[in-house]
Amino acid sequence: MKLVLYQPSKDGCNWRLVRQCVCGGNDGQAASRTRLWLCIPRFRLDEARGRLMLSVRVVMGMLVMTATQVQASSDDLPHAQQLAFRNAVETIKPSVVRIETIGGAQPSDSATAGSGDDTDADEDGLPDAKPAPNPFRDTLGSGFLVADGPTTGIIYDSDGYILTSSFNFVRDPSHITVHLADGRQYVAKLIARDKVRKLALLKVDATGLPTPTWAPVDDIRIGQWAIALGRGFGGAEPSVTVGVVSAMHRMMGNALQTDAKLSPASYGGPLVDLEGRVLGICVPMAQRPGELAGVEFYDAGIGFAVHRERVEEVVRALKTGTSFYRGWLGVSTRQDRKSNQLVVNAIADPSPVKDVGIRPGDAIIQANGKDVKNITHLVQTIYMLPAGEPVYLVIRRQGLDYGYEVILARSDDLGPLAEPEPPPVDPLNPFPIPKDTPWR
Amino acid sequence: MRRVLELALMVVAAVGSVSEAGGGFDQAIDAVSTRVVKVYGLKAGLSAGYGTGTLISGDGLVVTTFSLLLDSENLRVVTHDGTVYGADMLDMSEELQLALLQMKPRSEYDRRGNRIVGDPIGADTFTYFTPGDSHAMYPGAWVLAAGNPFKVSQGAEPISVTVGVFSTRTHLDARRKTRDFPYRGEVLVIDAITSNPGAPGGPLVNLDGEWIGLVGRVVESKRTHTNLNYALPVETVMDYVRSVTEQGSEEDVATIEKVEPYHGIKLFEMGYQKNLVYVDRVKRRSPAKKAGLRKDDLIVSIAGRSVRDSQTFHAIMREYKPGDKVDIVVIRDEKLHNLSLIPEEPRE
Repeated sequence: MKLVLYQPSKDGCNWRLVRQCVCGGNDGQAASRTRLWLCIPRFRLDEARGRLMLSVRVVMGMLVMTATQVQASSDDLPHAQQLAFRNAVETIKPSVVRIETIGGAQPSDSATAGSGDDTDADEDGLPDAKPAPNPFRDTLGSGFLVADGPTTGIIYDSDGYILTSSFNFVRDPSHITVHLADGRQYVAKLIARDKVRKLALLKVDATGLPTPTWAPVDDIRIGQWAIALGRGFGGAEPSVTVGVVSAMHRMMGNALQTDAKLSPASYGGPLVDLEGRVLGICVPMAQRPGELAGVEFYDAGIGFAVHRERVEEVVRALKTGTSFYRGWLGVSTRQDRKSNQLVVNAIADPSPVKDVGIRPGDAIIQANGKDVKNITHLVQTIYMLPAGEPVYLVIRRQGLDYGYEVILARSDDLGPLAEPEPPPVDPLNPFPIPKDTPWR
Repeated sequence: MRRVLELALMVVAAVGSVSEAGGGFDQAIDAVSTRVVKVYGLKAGLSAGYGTGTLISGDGLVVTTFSLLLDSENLRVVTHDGTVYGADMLDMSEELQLALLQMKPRSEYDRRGNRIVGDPIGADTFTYFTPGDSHAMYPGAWVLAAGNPFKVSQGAEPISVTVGVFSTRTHLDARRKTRDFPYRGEVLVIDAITSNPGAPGGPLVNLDGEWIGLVGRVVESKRTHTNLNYALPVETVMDYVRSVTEQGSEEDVATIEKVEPYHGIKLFEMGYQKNLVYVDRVKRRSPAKKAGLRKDDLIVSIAGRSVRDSQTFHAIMREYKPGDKVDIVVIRDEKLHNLSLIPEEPRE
């Protein structure tokens, strides 16, 4: 059977040949001269109508037969689709590697308890002001038990660089081995990690490895098929989950979103299109800190993959041995009810904000040019910025605005939070009743 | 969009022969709908236990998933047309997570004490599944699971169908709640939420409606610590059915205490079972010495299975008999080495 796949071209007027392949049918029809064109009509859709339009697309996938001797079992769209999935998997499979990690921290049972004690942040993504040894520390705790099974990676270039997810190394294994699809196996070195984008770069002593093709970011459309591959179950064949691209420009532009089920079985593996081109590297992500943040979404239809542009940028730095860590300002904040402003409550010492001279009681008005009215606004502006990146803050102090450039710091470089200053006493109302206190 | 739709309709009309039923999943759904039954068993608390069964013979042999709720005098099986039958449980295997039921005419008394006489069962009363080939599945192939999750279908109402893709084939190493899951064989992992309450025991079919597996219960994989949706391969199911129907339900597999054969490897163990598997000592003239193992080698896998601690090492070694060839991969000087060891009779 000859399968010819078309996708809409970028101008939307024509169809473009995307794949042409000859493949055997289910029941030995390889010899039959059937030509099957699967034409996928152009679809443009907004996010709100994404699902609806997609189903329309599936129903409308046109099937044109030039010959009539097609057997009943293969004359419909689902059969063509599963062959297309299979082709994509076969195309990318040689580049998907299995990673085994040995040693390192044992999975602890306390992590399963999901106690909030070992989590360094609450829902709003910034650390609590509770006294703790170091409230900014990056911990594992998210109520998820790190498994010790194999994980997935993808060959980045033919000289032995393997790209994967930092999720697979949260336990700091002492030994890492990489197993290629063709059976070759190597001891690997962890070059560097990006704990913000949850990527990691490994190096094995090999050359001539099969590299994948990457899809240009501009070619990716919401609603297109997305196939995730993983080797987390071990075995000779990768595990496959299928979905669509659900959204672009997620996580401050670092990732695209998919509804293909992603889980520890696929983190570090590729998300590919029907041609087997890599759309992104599957990683757990969430708008809160912690190396395991986002794992709780596993198999929920909310998954993230870091796209090519960001990967290239990150890998360039990772290759030099530079790791990325989440950036911290080193402040705890409170919402001032009178002025409805976000006010600095306490400051870590040392910390980047302390260095530039921001003081408790200052109101944060703007961050990176965006107005800040509450903690969510601030978090949304900085949560995906690694340590070392600058943030431009506008601070209002006694009616005057001051601009500061703050270089985000690693959590390890932050000191403990200083005791918050007591709020100024209003001489007319020295014992105010908190607004939220219920009357009894 | 409308323009394209019209175009599509025109093309389909012109070709004529293209699946008039549309989607293409309907063929598979037609195949399953009459071959799946709803099973009701023992009451657990206030609600009756319920599940799904797969018909495998014309006279009402039903295979389903192991459940203690099946251990009941009052099993009821409801076919696709709403007819109620009774059933006897022929066998139940916790290890395989399977159970076999034989449907029989309903024989109950209603509230007034009148006997309800059910429909008789002949040799070809029911349409049933013949086993397909689960090995023909490839990752990315569509699969459909049929069942009665959450008891949404009652009486003659059609069962629920879930569509997903075949994800992979793997050995199950899992737990269910706090206990280890007894089944350790191969499973088909499904990329769809199939293991809802009530759904286990239903068939998994491919796009052509061929039966390839039996949907299993929700378990948590120890490799990934995630919940798995899986099905037992149809070959495993049919082996079980044959073992029950041909030899009765007698336990014929004696459990033999397995002994680790002699290999001559002394591991670096400090009383704690989770040590990395470093070789501490290799005994002279032992199989390990002949295989080329050395002190300080780190054993990482045996026959392709990862070895992360000494406990796993001993567990895997116990599966081998003297004279078997054991492929061992070790890390030595930051390089992987493949060695093969032939163990000998255990020594005291």
